[in-house]
Amino acid sequence: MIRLAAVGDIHLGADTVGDFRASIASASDESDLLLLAGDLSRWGAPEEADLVTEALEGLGVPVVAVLGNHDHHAGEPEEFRRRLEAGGITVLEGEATEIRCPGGSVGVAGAKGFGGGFLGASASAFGEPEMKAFVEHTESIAGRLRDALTSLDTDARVALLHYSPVADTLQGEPLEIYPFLGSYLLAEAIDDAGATLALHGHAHAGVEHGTTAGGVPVRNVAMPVIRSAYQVYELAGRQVPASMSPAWVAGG
Amino acid sequence: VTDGPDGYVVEHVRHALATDPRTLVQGLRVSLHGDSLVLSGTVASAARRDAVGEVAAEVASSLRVCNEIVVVDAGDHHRAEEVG
Repeated sequence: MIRLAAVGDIHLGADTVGDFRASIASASDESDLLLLAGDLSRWGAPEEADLVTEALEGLGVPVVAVLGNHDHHAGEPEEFRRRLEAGGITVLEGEATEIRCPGGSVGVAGAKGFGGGFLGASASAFGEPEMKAFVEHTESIAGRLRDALTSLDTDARVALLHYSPVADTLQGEPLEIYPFLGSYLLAEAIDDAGATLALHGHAHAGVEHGTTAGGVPVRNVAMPVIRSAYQVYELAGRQVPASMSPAWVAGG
Repeated sequence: VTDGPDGYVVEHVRHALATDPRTLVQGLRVSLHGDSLVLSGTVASAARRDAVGEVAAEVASSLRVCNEIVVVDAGDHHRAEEVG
């Protein structure tokens, strides 16, 4: 069994980093790795990335993250990412990483995602350049997510996003803002490539549980939704030789 | 209810909460009930809740602000779920 701890939308600031560090510490006892579903900061200032690495320093399990829209607000996502990686966090944007856990190998394909809407009410790349750019941004990300998932040869595959791939997990949010909370293109990519689980954040007023049209479980792990520093998901894996555990090997 | 001229104020508050350096929050509910502007949703600290009330009161200076924001801690409430 592979045990994932996951949380999104931690929005760390100087006023919350201490409590978060204390609460996240037990994740290393209960999981094999920690996944962060974006919006790690309040506005994406590079020094806020240092707060994240400070909170997770010495956690004892690999940490894999995607960025969220708040992590882009300051206009320095590359530097924000660089500081996370300098602190030992693997950051994915249309990329994948493979981690060997005691209960099997898990591949994580990660991307921020973006908006556009869901089945029956979605935007098209039509008309003004701004509208085309909006939709094409999502299309591009979905394409890279599909390729990243497909590249994985692991016992379990996880899609890690900030924006939602399904409307299920948005229940509680105003219907009018659904197109800004995610896109069905992300779910279509997940279903095409196949995944064990999809995780996202972004929708603070949504619900935890959902499913893609193809039957992949989706979980909204935004901290205001799970009301906890993290949630644990146990995935069926396979036993690996004892000689390979308990070391974790990250690659990708 | 967000009808009438005060409906514009609701949007101004929502946008201020997203972009003001003191708050930088999205996803809170901002609604108008008579001459009261009601703020609800969750934030991670009491300081953030107070900042939301402060920014909203500045933007909606003609309205009474009811700050019903709840502070949610990151405490040990999690459980394990088997999936896949």
